[in-house]
Amino acid sequence: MQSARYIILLCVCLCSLPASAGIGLNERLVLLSERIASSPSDPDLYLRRALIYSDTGEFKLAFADLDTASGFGPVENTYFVRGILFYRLGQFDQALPLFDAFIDANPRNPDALIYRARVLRDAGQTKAALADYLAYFALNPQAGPGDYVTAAHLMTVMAERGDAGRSHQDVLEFLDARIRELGAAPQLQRYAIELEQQACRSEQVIERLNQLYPNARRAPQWHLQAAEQYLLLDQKDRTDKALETARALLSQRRPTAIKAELSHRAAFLHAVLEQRVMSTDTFDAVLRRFYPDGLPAGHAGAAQVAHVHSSASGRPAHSHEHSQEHSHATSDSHTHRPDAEPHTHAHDSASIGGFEQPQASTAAYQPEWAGPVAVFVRCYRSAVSAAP
Amino acid sequence: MLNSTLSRSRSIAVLAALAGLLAACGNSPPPADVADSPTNPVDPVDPNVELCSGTEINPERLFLQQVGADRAIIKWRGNVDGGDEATDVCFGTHMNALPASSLTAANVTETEHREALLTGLTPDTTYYYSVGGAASALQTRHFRTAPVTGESPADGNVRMWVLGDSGTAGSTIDPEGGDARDVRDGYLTWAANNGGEPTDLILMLGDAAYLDGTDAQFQSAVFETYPDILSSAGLWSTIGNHEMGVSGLSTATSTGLYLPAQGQRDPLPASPMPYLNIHTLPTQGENGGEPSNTEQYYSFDYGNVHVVSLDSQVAIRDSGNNETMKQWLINDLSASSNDWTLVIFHHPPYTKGSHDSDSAVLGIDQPIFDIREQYTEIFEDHGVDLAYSGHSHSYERSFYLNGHTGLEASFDPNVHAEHDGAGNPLTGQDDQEYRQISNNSGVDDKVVYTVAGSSGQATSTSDGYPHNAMAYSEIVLGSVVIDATATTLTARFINIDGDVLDFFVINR
Repeated sequence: MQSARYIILLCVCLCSLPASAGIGLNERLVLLSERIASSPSDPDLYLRRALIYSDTGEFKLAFADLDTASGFGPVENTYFVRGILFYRLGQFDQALPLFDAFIDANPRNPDALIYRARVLRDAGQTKAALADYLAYFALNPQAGPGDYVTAAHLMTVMAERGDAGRSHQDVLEFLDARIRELGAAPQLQRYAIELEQQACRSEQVIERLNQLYPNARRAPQWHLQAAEQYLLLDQKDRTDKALETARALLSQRRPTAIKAELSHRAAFLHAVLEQRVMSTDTFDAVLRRFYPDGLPAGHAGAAQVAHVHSSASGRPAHSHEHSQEHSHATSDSHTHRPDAEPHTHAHDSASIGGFEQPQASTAAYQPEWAGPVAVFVRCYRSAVSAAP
Repeated sequence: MLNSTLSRSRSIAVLAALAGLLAACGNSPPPADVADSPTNPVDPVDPNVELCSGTEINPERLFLQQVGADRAIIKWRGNVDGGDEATDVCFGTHMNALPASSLTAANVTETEHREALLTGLTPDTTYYYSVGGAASALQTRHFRTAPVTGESPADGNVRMWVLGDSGTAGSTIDPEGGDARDVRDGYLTWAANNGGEPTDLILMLGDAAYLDGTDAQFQSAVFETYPDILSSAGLWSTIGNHEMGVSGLSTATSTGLYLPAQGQRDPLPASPMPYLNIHTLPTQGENGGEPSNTEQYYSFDYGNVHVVSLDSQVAIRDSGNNETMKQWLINDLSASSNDWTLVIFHHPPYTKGSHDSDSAVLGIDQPIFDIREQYTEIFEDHGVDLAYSGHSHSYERSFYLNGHTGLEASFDPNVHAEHDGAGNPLTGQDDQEYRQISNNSGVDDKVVYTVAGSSGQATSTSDGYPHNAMAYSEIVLGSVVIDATATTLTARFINIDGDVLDFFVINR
């Protein structure tokens, strides 16, 4: 009876897979199902197969395996995997208590901590998410740079909301502590630079640019960023030199979209530099001449984090619209792509494996900062108004 | 043309003899995985120099990491003869006179690997080495350092061998490993028949060790399949879904979830994700490029070629890490001014092979959409020339593309491909060779995207095969060789017989 059950289950596994599943995935399910057939009371095998099913979108089968696993061991052992499944379905309210229960029983499990951190983050529970990220780093100091940047995002959002106990200085100290451990950590340093730029702290921006790894200066962007800050500090000679270097580097590059974008930005800065006196009127005239249609938003390279972040993650569904949002927000100069029609993702449909698929929500865990030109314009105007 | 100025030409006769000897000893099936023979040193041996005095050891696995202009890592583990493992290496520019002063101790790293970091090397120079610190190097133990960044090597050409989804040898897919070896031998045959230029770097596109990327599976699928090439050319990999543990799941963001489906954990301690333990990939910009602080994505320079390895599964695992990788990529590409830029990642943006880029019915294929919708624009804006992926077990090579971020039905050669003005996409061959700066747009804004995932198995097709964006598609075993000079880039697909089934050329 037992073996008949698993033969049926094996058939279900294989029949449910489209031909494009790839031999590896089929093989894995065959192997696991064979092992389950020979060890039908091993709950670990069901947990593992449930994870495979979750990646194939077969959530009904995945939950069924978890139910089976619960019958062969402590139900608490299934909480982690069950939480992952709900997270991947975007059902944060269902996922959170499962992670809570698992972490209560396993408080030093870094994997569960980082999953709960992401659930909390995507659910908009910034403070709790940050607490989990920090606990995760304590257990796993070698965490990837993306996790540290995400934690910095959360801290920044809290600081900008005026949440007690968090300031931009906290974010910078957090980043600097990690940078000291890593050495060259451009993802973190560039975030710190962005933070300083948004605060119009030009001297600090320059100091941090100088702390980037040496080859960073091979990029024209590095010199344009420096030129902007020297301009804000009214250091015309240094501005001129930085612009000259940026233009020299650009002249060596092949014509690309990013080169056109940066060349325009360099020309704009040069025109601003040509003004003999810092003045809002003349500056605005230059601005209108170079950006008659308004300031570009979300430029890559300089604006490390000035993008709207969308969509819960850690699950297999992303809508086309959200992907487009990602793409546009992080692009340099393209405002038009040849094809932007919506497609029919299988995951855009209402359900996955029989489970309702929620609409992706916009997570609010990243600060909504302006692009680099807009930041420069704001800081320039601020500097002019503060000038004696 | 590429081989006319070779200074590193192989001695076919010597190698053939060696291959025969090895075969006779039962160590290697013919044709052997014959390593490339290096340039003879130009400096005379100083008879007064004290030589190394250790004993050569034959490790169970031996490979090269981070081979750059002035550095290289020699990495190994085990001793096939059952004795003690080697603890150090000697190296030098004379095969039979490795100086004692070069003796370099190895560090013991994850999963009991040993790695010796050689620094202060001379660019574009052949070095010989002995694992164990003997005075002489074996025929297959040598490597050539990269030229300095931005320059071509002395022979004028950087040769890259590209393998995708090659890891079938020893797995349940191909227990005997015949297919992967046939692909290897097809490449070696073609190379031998076309001037014998050595391989400068090996690029693996993921799924290098089926089914789960365990340490044991890496041993059979990688180290025992390409031993001699791995001991003479740097290995650079990108991570595939089969190296992620738990069937390559997106849930594997936490490496602690690593569990092989076959239920056989690696015997050595602390091996949650063998791919990361086995490789020593640059995280601090050791070989040029923007430091990534993670082995899951990284970049490096090799002379006039800039190579970026991305983790195509980041987006599906976590949006925060994906955004960080994306910004890192933009900064990395912005800082590079090399002649050519090549990006490798596992999931192809366009395929109608064993995976379908029009369907994300399987979550496992969501990264295909992520790459196409979130990354191709970055490549095209920043002057990337080539993108290589695996995942589908096929060879599918695109036209010279820009802006195709939709499904196959949206592909319009007039809009998305370099064309002849009459709507006919150019093939990149003969009188239709591509220009790096597009004739259509006047800008360097196009990329050739290639699926090269048939280096271990050639399997099925999806509905609608072949993809309309492809200039050439075939379900056949093979690998890719890329030759990059200062002015021309030529990519060829080589089958198991050593024949070129497809090629294209980009001119600067």
